[in-house]
Amino acid sequence: MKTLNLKFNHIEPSRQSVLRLLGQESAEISPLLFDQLENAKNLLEQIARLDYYWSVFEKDDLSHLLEGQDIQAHLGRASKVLILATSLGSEVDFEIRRAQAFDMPFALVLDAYASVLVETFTDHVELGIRTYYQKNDLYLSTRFAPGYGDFPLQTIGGFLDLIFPINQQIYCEDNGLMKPAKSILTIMGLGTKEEIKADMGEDPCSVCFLMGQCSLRSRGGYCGKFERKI
Amino acid sequence: MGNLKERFRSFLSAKDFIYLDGATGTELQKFGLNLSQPAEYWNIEESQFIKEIHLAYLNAGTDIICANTFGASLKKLKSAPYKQEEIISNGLRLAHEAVDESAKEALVAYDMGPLGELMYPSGTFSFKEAYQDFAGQARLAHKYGADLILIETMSDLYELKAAILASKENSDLPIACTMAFQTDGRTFSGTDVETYVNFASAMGVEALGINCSAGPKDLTKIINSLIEHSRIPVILKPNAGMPCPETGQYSLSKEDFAIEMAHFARRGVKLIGGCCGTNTDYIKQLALELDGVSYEKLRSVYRGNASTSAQTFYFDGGPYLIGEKISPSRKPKLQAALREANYAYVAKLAVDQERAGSDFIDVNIASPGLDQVKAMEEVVLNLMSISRRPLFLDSKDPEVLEAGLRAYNGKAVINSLSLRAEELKSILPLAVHYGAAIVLLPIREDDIPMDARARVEVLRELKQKCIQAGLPKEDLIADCLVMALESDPVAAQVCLETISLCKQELELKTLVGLSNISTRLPERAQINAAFLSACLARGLDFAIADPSQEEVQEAYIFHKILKGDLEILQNYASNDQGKKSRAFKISSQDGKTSRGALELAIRSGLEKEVYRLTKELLVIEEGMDLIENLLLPLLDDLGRSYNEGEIFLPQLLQAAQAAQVSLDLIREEVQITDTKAREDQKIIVATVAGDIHDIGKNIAKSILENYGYNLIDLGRNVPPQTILEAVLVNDCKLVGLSALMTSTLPAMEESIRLIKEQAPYCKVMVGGAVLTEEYAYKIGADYYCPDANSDIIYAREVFGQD
Repeated sequence: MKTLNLKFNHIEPSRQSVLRLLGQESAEISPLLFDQLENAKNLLEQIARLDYYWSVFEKDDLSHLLEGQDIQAHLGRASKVLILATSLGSEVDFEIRRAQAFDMPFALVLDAYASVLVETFTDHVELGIRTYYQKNDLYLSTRFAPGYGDFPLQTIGGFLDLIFPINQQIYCEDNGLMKPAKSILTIMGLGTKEEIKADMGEDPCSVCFLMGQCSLRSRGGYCGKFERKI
Repeated sequence: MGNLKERFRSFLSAKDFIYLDGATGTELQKFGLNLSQPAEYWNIEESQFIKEIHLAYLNAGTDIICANTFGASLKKLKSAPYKQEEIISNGLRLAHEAVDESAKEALVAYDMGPLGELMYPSGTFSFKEAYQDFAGQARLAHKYGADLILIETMSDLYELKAAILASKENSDLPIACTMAFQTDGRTFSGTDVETYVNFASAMGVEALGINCSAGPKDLTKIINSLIEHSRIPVILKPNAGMPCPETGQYSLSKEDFAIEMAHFARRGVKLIGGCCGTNTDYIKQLALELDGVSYEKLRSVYRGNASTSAQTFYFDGGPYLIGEKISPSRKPKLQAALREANYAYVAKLAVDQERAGSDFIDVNIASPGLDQVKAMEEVVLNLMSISRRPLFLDSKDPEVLEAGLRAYNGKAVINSLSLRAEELKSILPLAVHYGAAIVLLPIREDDIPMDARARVEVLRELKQKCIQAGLPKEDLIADCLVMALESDPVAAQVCLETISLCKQELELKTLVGLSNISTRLPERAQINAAFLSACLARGLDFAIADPSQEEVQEAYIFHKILKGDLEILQNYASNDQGKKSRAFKISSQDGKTSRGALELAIRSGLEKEVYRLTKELLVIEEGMDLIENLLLPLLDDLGRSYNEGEIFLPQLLQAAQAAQVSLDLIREEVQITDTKAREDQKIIVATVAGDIHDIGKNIAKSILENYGYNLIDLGRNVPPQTILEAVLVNDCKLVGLSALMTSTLPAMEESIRLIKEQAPYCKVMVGGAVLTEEYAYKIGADYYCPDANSDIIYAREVFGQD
C-alpha cells in the first residue's frame, strides 16, 4: 500500500463541531461569524498541508515506549502496533499566530476550524487504513495516545523518532505538546479479530485525560473519540 | 580563501561526478542496531561495523564519505553514556581509517544533522541555542580532521542558518548543505527551493542540494528548480522512493534508482548519492549508469533578491513599496513601545503596513537611551513570527545591524552603506558575512553631493568596492537621496536625474526615501504621491513610504496598471481589492438613533460600520461623552452577557475589536486629554517561559485595551527575569500571566515569586487552561481569571473605576 490517495476536498469538517469548540453550538450564527467560518475554510484550503505518516512495528520492539497499564490493556493481545501521525503543517500555526495580531475573533475561529480539520482528517486516514487491513482480515483497535490514562506524554518524542528517523515532520516540545500544533499522534493495535479488543468498556471517557473536567461532557456531549467500534 | 576550500573545489572539479554514500542507519540495523539505540554509540561500541560500512561504500565508488556523526549534537546526545568529543573523534577516525585502507583519494565529511528541536517562532528553541550546539560540533570536526562539513536533512531554514554560521565562524572547513523537501516543493517550515538556494549561496556554502525527502522522480520539480537557480555545485541524495509502512522496504530497486538519478546528473547535478533505503549496491549501480557521462555545467542567471524564510522577492520584479513606519523619530508611541519592550506593538505595525500594501518593511529603531542591539534583535524576532515581508535593516551602528542580521531568518537588506571609511570597514563585511543585499548611499565622508552627477560618481565607487568584497552587483541598490523641498527647491529634480543616471550608467536598482521630499510642507500625502509617480516614470525600483497614505497607494497602483499589470487592473476594475467578506450596512433606522446604530454595529462586530458611524457621531457629539456614556457601558453590558452565557467568546471578541475601532478614532479625533493618566495605567501581559500558546493572553489583551489601559505585551515564552525587569522599568501595578501547559506552571510560579519579592506593589493576575482558582492562589497570584472578561474587574480594582 503506497498511499491512501486522500485529497483535501474529501475532507469536510463539520461546522457544528467548529461551533462546539467555540462554545456556541446552540447559538444562532451571526452573518459575521458565518463569513469568518467561510474565510477560515478558504484560508485552510490554501495553506493546510494534510500529511499523514504511519508505520507498523512488532509490539515487542516497542517495549521501551509502551509504558503504563492502560496502553498495554488497550493493545491487548495484538502482536503489532500501528503508529499514525497526522498534521496540517507549520503554515497553519503561522497564520493563527499572525491573525492574532490584527483580527483576534478570526484567529479564534481559524484555530477552532483547524482543530476540527485535523481531527476529521485523522478520522479519514484511520478509516482508510482500517479498510485496507480489513480486506486482509486484520483489524485495528481504537485510537490511543500518550497522555491518555497512565500512558506518559513523555513517550511522544520516542514515537515520533520512530516515524521520522531522519527527516522530522512533527516535533515534540519539552512540555509534551506537538508542533505543528494541529497534529495528532495515535497508537493502535493491529491483529486478528480475536486479538483486538472490541471496545473501550462501559465508559469510553474513562481513560481520557480530561475526565472530570471536560466541558463538553459537562454539557452532556461526547467528542466521539472513543466511541467507535471496529 | 583557505587552502581547505581550494582543495575542496579542486577535488570537485577533478571528476565529472562526485559520489557520496547512501544510508548508514538502516545498514547498521542489519548488523544488529536496535530501534532504541542511537547509531552514533557504535562509533565506540561496535566500531568495526562502522568502518566496514564506510569501506563498502568507498569500494562501491564513494568519493566523499560521511562520518557517523549525523546525530552527534549535544541535544541528541543528552542522555548518552559517552562524551560528545569521544563520539565525534571516533567517528571521524573510523572514516579516515576506511579511506586510508581503501587507498582511494576520498574526503571525509563531518555529517551535521538537525538537532530535533523546533526553532522559534514555531517552537521554543532559540537561534542562539542552536548556534552553540552547531559551533561545538564544528570545532570538533575541525579538531579531528574532517575535510568538510556536510549539513544534512535540514527542514528549517533558520536551523540551517545557525549551522552554516556556526560552521564558518568556528572552523575553516568548506561547507556543503542539503535540505529535505516535501513533494509540494517546500520544506517542512515552508521554504521554497529558490529561497533556499539564494540564501545558502549568499551565506557562502560551497555546494548545496537536497537529500532524503522522497525518490528522485517524485522530486522532479524540486530538482529542476535547484538546477535552474543554483550557481554552485548541486548535491542530490534522495531516498530510494517511498517506504512501505508495513515492511519499511523502499519502492525503488537499485536499477530504477540509478536510472532516475542519471537523468538529473545529466542536467547539472555534481554530487550524487542516496539516503534512506539505499545501500552500497545503489551507489555501485549509480556509478555504472553514469559511466562515460559528462558533467553538465550550470547555466543559472543571478537575480538580485531578498527573502523571508518562505519566499524570495526578486529586485527586478518591482517597483516595490517599503513600509517606513517602524522608525521612532517623532513617534512617541513607538518610542514608548521600544522602551517598554512591547515588541508585539512593533510587530503589529509591520503587519499593518503589509496589509496596506508594503512589499518590504524598513526597521529603524534608533532612539535615545535605548539598548538598540537588544531591541533590534527582539524586533526582528517578533516581526518574523507574524510578517511575510523581507526586512530592510536600517542603522548606521554595525553592532545593531549585526544583531538584526544574525536574528533574521532569510536574506535581509542592509540600509545603508556610504563611502565613509568607517562604514566600509564595519558594515560592508557584515553584508558579505551574512549574505545580505545592501543599499548604497551617495555620501562621501562628510560630503553630501548636491548634484546628480556627483552622486552617481560616489555610487560608482561604492559599487566597485562592494563587488571587490564579493557581493553580486545585482544585490546592490542605489539610494538616490531625497532632500526636503523646503530647504532645497531642486531636490526632486536632482533625485530624478540620479535615478536615470543610475539606470543608464551603473545598472543598479534604485531607491528613494519618499516622504523626505515633503518634510514640513502642507498636503504631504499629495506631494509624496506626485513625486512617487515621477520617480516611477524614471524606473524607480523601491520607495520607502507610508503605505497607509491613500494617495501614495493610488500612485503606486496606477503606475502598475499603466505598466500593464493585469491582476491589479482586474482588481481595480472590480473594486475587489482581494476582500472576500460581504459589506454590511447599518442605518440609523436599524438602531432607532445614531447612538443605537453604533451600538448595534459594535454588538455585530462590524468594524467598517463602526468607523463610519463613529465619524458621523463625532460631528454632533462630544467624544468623551460617547466613551463614558455609550462605549464603556456597552462594554460592561457585553461582559455581563458573556458571563451569563447570553453571548459567546466569538461575539465578545468581535464586539471588543469593533469597539476598539470606535475608541481609537475618538481618542485620535478629539485628542483625549487623559492620555497621561492612561499611560500610567500600565498592564504587562505575557505567556510564561516554555509556553508559546498565547491565544488566551491575546484574548485578555483585546478586552483590556478596550477599556483604554496601556497594555505592554511581552509576547510568548517570556522568562521570569524578563517579566520582572519589565515590571520594574515600567513601574507597573498589574501583570497578567498566561500558561496552557502544566509543565510551564513552575515558570509562572517563579515569575510571581520574583515580582512579589522585588516589586511587592505589583498585583498579578493569572489565567490559562490548566489553572484552577485554588492553584492560582497557591502559587501566589493575587487574582485568578477563569474567563476572558474577569481581567476587567481586577484592573478596575487596581486602577480604580473610570
